Order: sequence, then C-alpha cells, then structure tokens
Amino acid sequence: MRILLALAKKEIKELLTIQLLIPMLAIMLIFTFIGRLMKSEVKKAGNPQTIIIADYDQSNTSRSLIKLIGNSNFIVQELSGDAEFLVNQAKQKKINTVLVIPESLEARVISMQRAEIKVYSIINNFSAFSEIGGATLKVVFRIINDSISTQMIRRINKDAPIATIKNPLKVTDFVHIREQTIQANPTEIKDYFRVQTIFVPVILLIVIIYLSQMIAAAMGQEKENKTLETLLTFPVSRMQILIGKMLGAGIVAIIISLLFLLGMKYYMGSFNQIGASEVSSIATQSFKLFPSQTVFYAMLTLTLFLAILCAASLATLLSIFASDAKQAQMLITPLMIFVLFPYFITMMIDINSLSPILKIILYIIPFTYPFLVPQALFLNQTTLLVGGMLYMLVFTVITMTIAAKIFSSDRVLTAKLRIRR
Amino acid sequence: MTKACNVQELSKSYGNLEALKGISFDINQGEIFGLIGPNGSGKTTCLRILVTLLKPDKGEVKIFDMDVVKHGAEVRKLISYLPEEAGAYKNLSGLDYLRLVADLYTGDKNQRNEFIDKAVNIANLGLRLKDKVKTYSKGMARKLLLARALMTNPRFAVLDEPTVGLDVINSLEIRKVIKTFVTNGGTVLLSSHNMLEVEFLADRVALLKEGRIFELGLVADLKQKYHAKNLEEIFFGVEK
Repeated sequence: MRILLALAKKEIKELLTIQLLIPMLAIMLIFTFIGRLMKSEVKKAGNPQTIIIADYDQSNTSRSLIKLIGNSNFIVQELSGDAEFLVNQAKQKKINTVLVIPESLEARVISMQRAEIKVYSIINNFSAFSEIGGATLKVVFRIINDSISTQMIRRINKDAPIATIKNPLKVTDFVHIREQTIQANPTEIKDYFRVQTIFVPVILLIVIIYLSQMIAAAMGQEKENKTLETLLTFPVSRMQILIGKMLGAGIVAIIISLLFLLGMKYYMGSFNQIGASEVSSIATQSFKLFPSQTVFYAMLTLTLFLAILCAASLATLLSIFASDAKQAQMLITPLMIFVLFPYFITMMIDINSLSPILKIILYIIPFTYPFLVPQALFLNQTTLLVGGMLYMLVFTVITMTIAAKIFSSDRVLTAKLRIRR
Repeated sequence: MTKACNVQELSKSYGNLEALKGISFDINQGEIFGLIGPNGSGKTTCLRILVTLLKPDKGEVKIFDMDVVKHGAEVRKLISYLPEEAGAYKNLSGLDYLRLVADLYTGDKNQRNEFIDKAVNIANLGLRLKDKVKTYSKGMARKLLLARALMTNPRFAVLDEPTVGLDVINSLEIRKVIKTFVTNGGTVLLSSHNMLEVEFLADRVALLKEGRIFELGLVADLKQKYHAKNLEEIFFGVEK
C-alpha cells in the first residue's frame, strides 16, 4: 500500500500540471457562460412578445379574439394598411408576427362558413428560442377555434353533447412493465427513463476518454523522459507499478471529469427549466414501479466504476507499446471506438433486434454494459445486470495480468532498442 | 568469499543481432570493476541483464549468489542502476524525487530520512533541490540521479557513464563520491567511454568487443602487456 501510494502520488504530481488545468478551467468557464446565456435567452423568450394586428372586421368576434391574444402574453399593436405595409412596419419595429383579420370574419362564422385569418411571420434567425412565440400563438388559435366551434354546435343544437362530438374517441393507455400492467402513457414512461439516465453516457464518455489519455500520457512520459528504465530496477513489482499508474491517472481523471461535469451541470440546468415540469408528474406517479433511487444510483455507480476499471486496464495495456507520449495517445484511439460504438448502437437500436454476430460483438465489448444497465435496472433484467458486472471485473483482471506479463518481459525496452539500431 | 557478481557464458540476441556471445566474468565485493568497449560492443545489454531489465538467452548471472532471472525481486533490493540516458520526473522537485525513491525502498521513517539526508549530501545541490527537475541543468540532473543511485546503500551499484556530460569539476566530485561509496563497503560496476575515468577509479577492467570479452585484468597488468602508458592506448590498440 505504501508503495502504491508513493507511485500514485508521483503520477498525480507529474500529470496534474498548470498546463493541463488551465484549459480545463477555461472549458468549465465557457460552459458556465453558455449556461448563463441560455438562461437569459429562455427568460427573454418567456417575456411578452409584441404582435401587429390589423382588424378589418371590427366585430364582437374579432374584438374578443384580439382580447384573448392580448391576455396570452402578447402586446398587441393595432395598425391598418396592406400586407406589404404591415410587414415593413413590423421589420422596422423588430416585431416578428403580423396578423390580419379579414372584414368577413364574424359574418362567415355566423353563416357557418370557414373564416380565414392571415399570419405573417418574419424570419430573421433560426434559433430554438425564436420558435417559442409562434408556438404560443398556435395554442391561442386552438383555443379560439375551440370556442368558435362550440358556438357553432350550440347554434345547431342547444343540447348537443359538445365534448363527445369534439372527441368521440377516448384513448386510455396501459403499460405493461416489470411484470405488471398499469394505466400510464408509454411515451411519458420512456421520457422519464431517458431523463433519469441521460447523464450515464455523458459521464462515461468524459471519464473514460480523460482517464485513458492520462494513462497513455503517464506511460509515454515515463519512456520519453527516460525514467522507466530506472523505475523498473526499483524493488517494486511490475503489477504495483501498473496499478500505481492506474490509481494516479484515475484520481486525475476524476478531478478533471468533476470539473467538466460541474460546468456541464450548469449548462444542462438551463434546459431543464423548459421540459422538466411535464415529466415530473409522471415521475412521482410511476416511481413506485421503479427500483428505489438509492439502489438505482448505487448500481449505476458500481457499473460506471467497473467500466472505468476496464478502460484503465485496457489503456495501460495499449500504452505499454508506445515509445513516447504522442505514440501513446495514438495507441489508445481504438479504445475510444470501443466506447463510442456501443454508445451509438444502444442509443438508437434495441440490442435484441440486432443480428446474432453484432449482438455477440456488443456483449464482448465491456463498455456496452454501462449503457444497458439503466434499462436492465428499470426492467428487472437481473441476468444481464449481474453477468455484465462480472464480465467487466473478469475483463479487467485478465487485461491487467496480460499487461503485467508484457511489462515484465524484454519487450518494454527492446522495442526501443530495435528502433534505435 | 561470495562474489558480488558472477557472470557465466552470458548470451543475448535481438533477432539476428548477437549482442553478447557467451561472456564470463566476476566482480569481488568492495571492488570497482570497469566495463569498457566501443559503441555497440554489448556493454549496455550486459548491464541491463545484470540489473534484471532484460532476460538472458543463455548463461547465468548471479548477484550475491542470487540468480537474476529466478530471484529478480530479491536482486532488485540489493542493487542500484544508473543508466547512461536516465531522467528524473520533470514536474517533481529534486527533493520530492528523492523522497519518492526512499518511499519505494523503505517503510521505516528513520531509515527513509537517513536515505534522503545521504542523497542531499551527495547531490550537493543546496536550495535548488526544492526546484522542479525540469529547471535543472544536465549536470545538476546527473548529480541528483547519482545521489538517488547511492542513497539506499545498495550492495552493488551499476553505473553507466556516471559523469556523462559533466564538466571537469563536477566529474571530479562524482568520482570522489564513487570512491567513498566503495570505501564504505559498496561494490561498483562502472561502464564508461572515458578511459581516464575508468583508469582512475577501477581496480580491474574487462574490455568488450563485438559481444565478447577481449581482455580482462588489473589495469596495471594490461598496461604492461600492451606496453601502453594508459588505458586509452590499450583501447586504441585493441580497436585496430
């Protein structure tokens, strides 16, 4: 333990330099800055928007329509003139929407005919937040449509069952999950699952990528700075050297990933304001269905930890073959592919629908399991859960044993010798 | 008396290249043994096998009666190796580097401090020991590494070009340190291109050429045999 700690301490001091920390802090600051900007944009999109309305009908119907718009987070500016004039006015005043109510609106409604309202949208950017005003206007029109159609139905038959006429078909959703059937909407359940597990791949990708780079750097530097030859003659076992390296690099990777995640959290936090409320109702309702939060996060952490061990051992094995830091970075590229491949596949496709060969390949890659574990936890797939964890553990032990074996052989030094001659 | 080092019929090849072709020699305890030879004669390969970095193809190497292949871990506790091209961890201070090595050798606090004190004395770098190694000159780094190699009181020190790249004054200092180390009971295998240095330090020398030992004996005897004034002349004669 004393030797491991000494080696890990050395590794941390060698890796955690100002040159490494400054870009990291810069990235964190950039994330925080973008997050802040997002928040202010969301707030801006929530502010009342100005709309130009030209009312040529001047009837009760048109007045009540304008009033409804005015009450729905819009500031109404009434103007008159032709379409071209109105659009020009809007452009000058930096207003994005113009609404034209025709002369015949009320008359057509009364005679049970379809009436037409014209909406001119001025597009000057494609940002996501510019859409919010348009979406609100659509909701307003739905309400107006609804109220006019109610009036029309009443005019035909005073006692007609209006709700039934408008929605003659009632759909009740049931979901069968974890061996029980409950009344719930499948989309909402899926959304809830997605929100709960969205951070898993993000953490995994960041930590694994940083960790393997750290290990590659540690091993590469050792050869580049000519310290390996001496280190190997100290009374320390090869396995201790390798584990010390993994430990040191692991701690540095965790520090960096935490910095990253902190920035990310702030950045993501700005989005949560928008969609979170819709999911939270189903969350409270269906949580009884799912594993307890403590079990869920404990299992998830354990899987992530095992996946990180797999990555660390694989990076160690690969970087032994490098002769300097640059080459070490290059050698760990296949590892990145091993992480990204299951990430994209499991994100898009149900693994059970894949061809047997592809399925076997995915199950051989140890990084597939962290992406499958959240689903396995939600769906009670114990075999996959336990099997996956055991497999990752065995994978790490085997990889480390091979690494130590190669590390004890001449290969570590003779590869360099051959190049020199 | 047990030999500090005993080498029997040692061979090593890299692919088709035969680096060592069955060499044999032994080193007495308390002796400075010089290993000299032109570039590519197999010196570094020989040293690397002795310090357990490489495995021999044929033959046997024993350090204090322990086989370097079978008892590598035990051998590493007795030896210390200063490679020709060695470095220290650049982002560590000189002192931190010495502390790290001390920690790897002992868990005993007093002994650890003893090792570090000894290294501080040998390195003789004063306050610069607290600076990061990357700010050191070549000479300073070499002194730090030599201090590291001798601080743990190894019974057998293998020094490859200990004064490479050093000026006259620093070289002289290092030679003194090596002499003192032997006076205090240590044994040294010294490999160098600097014939004057070997002549000044070594009791016996082995001259390696193309993977074979060409000459082996006391410096004085060899000088007589070749009618040479110094080792350099012998070396030159053998090379021709």
